[in-house]
Parts: sequence; structure tokens; C-alpha cells
Amino acid sequence: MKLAKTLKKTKAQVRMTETIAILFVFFILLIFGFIFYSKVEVRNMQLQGSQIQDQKAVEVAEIFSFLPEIQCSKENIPAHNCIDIMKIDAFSSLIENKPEYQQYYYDQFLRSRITVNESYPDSSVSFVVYDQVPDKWTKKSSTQIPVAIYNATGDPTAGRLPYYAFGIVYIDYYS
Amino acid sequence: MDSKKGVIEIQFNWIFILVAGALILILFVAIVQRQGSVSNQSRDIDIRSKLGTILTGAKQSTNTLFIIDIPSKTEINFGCNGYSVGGTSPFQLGESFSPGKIKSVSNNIFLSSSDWSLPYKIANFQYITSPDIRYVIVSGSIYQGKLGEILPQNLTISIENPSSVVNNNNYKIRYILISDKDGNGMGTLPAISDNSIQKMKDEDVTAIHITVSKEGRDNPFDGYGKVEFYTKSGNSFPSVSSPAKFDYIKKESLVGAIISDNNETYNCVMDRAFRQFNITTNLYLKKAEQLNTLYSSGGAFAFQCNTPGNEYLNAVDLLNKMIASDVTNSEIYDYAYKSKTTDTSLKISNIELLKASCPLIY
Repeated sequence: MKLAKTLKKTKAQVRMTETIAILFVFFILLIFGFIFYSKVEVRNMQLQGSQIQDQKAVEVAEIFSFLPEIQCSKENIPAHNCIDIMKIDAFSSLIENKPEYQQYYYDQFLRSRITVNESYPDSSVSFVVYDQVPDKWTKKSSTQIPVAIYNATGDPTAGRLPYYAFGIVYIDYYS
Repeated sequence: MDSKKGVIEIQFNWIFILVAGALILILFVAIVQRQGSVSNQSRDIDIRSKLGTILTGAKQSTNTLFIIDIPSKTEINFGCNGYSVGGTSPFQLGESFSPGKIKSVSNNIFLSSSDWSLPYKIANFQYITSPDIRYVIVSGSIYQGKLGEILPQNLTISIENPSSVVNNNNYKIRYILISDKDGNGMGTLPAISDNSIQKMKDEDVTAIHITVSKEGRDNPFDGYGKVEFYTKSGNSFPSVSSPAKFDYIKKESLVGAIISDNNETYNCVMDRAFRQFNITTNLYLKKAEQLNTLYSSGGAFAFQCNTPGNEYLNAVDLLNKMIASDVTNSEIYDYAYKSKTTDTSLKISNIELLKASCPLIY
């Protein structure tokens, strides 16, 4: 009688332990599934973030290409992919000397560095137009845009007429 | 005793199953709810990012209407800090004008942009609006037929008597009154007679009163004047609390005032535009000073560009006046196009330089 009682009690305990073990395994599997799903989601979000950064880099390049402050113009008709060297000279010195202008252009160019280099005929001509490289960054997206650089005055001392030079705009966007 | 124990054991099993089941159910409900909110946030971020790219691209193409499809039930909010979708952080788009809320039952929005020049290009003004917003030009307004020529295409515009305007299920209605500085045209807005328009939210029924002080050459609105913003209160239009009266200069800024239904937002965007104007003017000033120094110092081309009016020096003088702190819009307009006193302007100087084949100011 006593043995039967003990056996019944043990059976119930085994059944209980079984149920708890099943639940435990179920939760373990659930946690594994959740961790796997989270990892995939984090990876997707990183990819999406990277795509957004690339888009931002293209946006900065697009905004700079169409900036009226530096574009060549004749009678207020802008010439695309053309930069007026006198305007870019004035622009870079204004941005460098006035912090409030840097702040104003930060909304458009964010954390980037924009340089205009003349390639031909004088490869030594270079302007740092905007420079807001952060101290710490994880990704850099670079865009290069070939442009014409217009010199409206030429070189009167050398008897040289106004001319166009070839140049490249380098836009490095940091995130 | 045995059967009693059995009953307790069975009851305990059921309680255990119930508790465990409820916990599992709560867990899944929580996951589903969280996932729903994450999915909405992700959708908003996606729309915001794509919208930003589209708007930036569209801003560069002036005088072109873009009809952009947006996901259903999307609401784009616009304020001084820029555009935002859902709970996302707002993004700035420079000189951009919009009503406070943009939505559309046909799931599309209109984008267009125009360049704002005084007389050189300062910025592209972008206008973003919805086909579901109705613009009512109050009949009897001066130049009423000319306003449609400067507004973006495809807008829902009509010339009507306010008392005959009925609700066509537009989510916003904007009344436009126009008068000149002598008071010709419509100066005051009659009360709203349509019951359903009276019941619309106050901020959704607005009015603008345009006073044309100086007509432009090609279009009367291309000069300068004043705009006053009104918001409905019951069935009338008391003036919005100060500052609700602003100057406009050139038709592009006037269109901005018509598209914006909020005086604070309009003021904010125009502040930004005038900051851009100051920067651009400073650049042209520097360029004009350089050219003046170069050609007045007697270089090889100096004889050619030594024009009778000394246009570079004249430009330096005008540009300096344009960025003076106390300059008014009417003075800027005169310095740019024609001065009242000296009969010179930047535009005239530039034409003279063009005739002499000299480097232009702009």
C-alpha cells in the first residue's frame, strides 16, 4: 500500500518534471529563434542605414553641383557642371572666415569634405570648399564629379583670354 | 484521501497550463504589437529617406511639375524645422514652401520649383502641395486672371465669390484676395456662408490678402508688395496675431506665401531665403571687387573693360547697399533692377559689361 502510494507520487513528479522540461525546451527554442531574428533584423537595419548614408552622399553631391553660389552663369542663365573660379575662391574664403556660414551650410553638406581640383592645364590649383570631417567616423562615401572650371578674367599680364579648365570635384561624406 | 489528492493534482495541472498558456500568449501578443510599431517606424523612415532624395532632385529642376506617388494614408507634416513623416525627425530642404499638412486621397503630391533671382540667382524655391487643397481667388480681386500664370500647374484653383463657395471635400481651403496699394480690388473677405466649411477645423480654412505695391514687368506679381495671413474663426477671418503681415519680393516669394498656410512657417522660410541672399550677395560683392581691382589697375584688357559708367565700381556700390542691415525689400528691388535716384542697377551694369565683352558680374 505504502509502495503503491510512493510509486504514484513519483509518477506525478516525473510527469510534472516532463512538462517543465518541455516548457523549458520550448522557451529555449523561442529564445534562439528570437536571437536569430534580432540578428537578421539588426543586419537589415545596418544595410538600410548604409544605403541611407550612400543616398545622403549622392544628395550632397547633387546639392553642391547645382549650388548657384558657385555655378558659372551668363546673364543669370546657369551653366551646369561648370564652376566659376572667382565664385569658388570667394565662397571658400567666406566659409572659412565666417563660422555662421559654416553652420548654415552644415544643413546641406553635413559631415563632408568638398574639394575642387583643377586637372588641366594647371593641376596645382585646388580649393577646399567645405571641411567638416568628424573626429570619429565609421564610413566614408566618395563621389567625384568632372566639371569645367571657368576663369572669367584669363591672365591679363600674360595676355591670356578668359578660359575653361578641366577639374574634378571630390565629395567625401562621412558617417 | 487518494481521490482527494488526485483532484488537487488535476486542478494544479489545469492551473499550471492556464498560467503557462497565458504567459506564452502575452509574450506573442507583445511581440506582435512591438513588431507592428517597429514596422510602422521602419515604413516612416523609408518614406522619409526616399522623399528626401526625391525632393532634393526635384528642387534642382525648375519650372517642371513633378507628380509623386506616395503610400496610402501617408501624412507629411511641414514646419519651421522642415518635413517629417509620422514620428520621424524632420529634415530641412532649404527654401521650401508647403501647407502644414500634406495628404492626398489620390495618393500623390505635387512638387515644383522656381528660381528666385534678384537679379542674380539666389536659390530655387520649392513648392510642395496636394491636389486635395483648394485655392479660391476671390472674384473682384485685381489681377485675378494673372495669378494662375504664376502658380504651379495642376493646382485646384477657381475664381469665385466666397458666398457661393461650397465644400467639395477638400481637406484645406485657401482664399486669396488681391488689391493694389491704392486699395483697388478686394480688401476684405466676406463671412463664410457654407455650413460644412464653417465646421472645418480653423487651421484648415485660411486666407491671404495680397497688396501689390509695385508691378513686375512681365507679370504684376513679379514686383514687390505685402501679404497678410488670416485663419478662420467660426465663420469669419480675423487677422492672425502678429507677425502676420510680411513683405514679398518677386513672384516666387509670393507663390511661397500662397502655398504656406501658416504665417510663422512662411516667415521662417523667408528668413532662411534672405540669409541665402546675404551669402550670395557677399560672394558677388567679392567677385565685383576683384574684377574692379583687376581692370582698374591697368592690365592688358583694362582698356577694353574700362566702360563709361565704370560698371564694376557701380556694382560694388550697389551690392554693398543690398546687404546693408537697414535695406528694405523695395530698395533691394530697385538696386537689382532700376534705381529710383541714379537710374542704374545691377541688371543695367551687367548688360553694359556684356556689350563690352567683359567678364560679367552674374
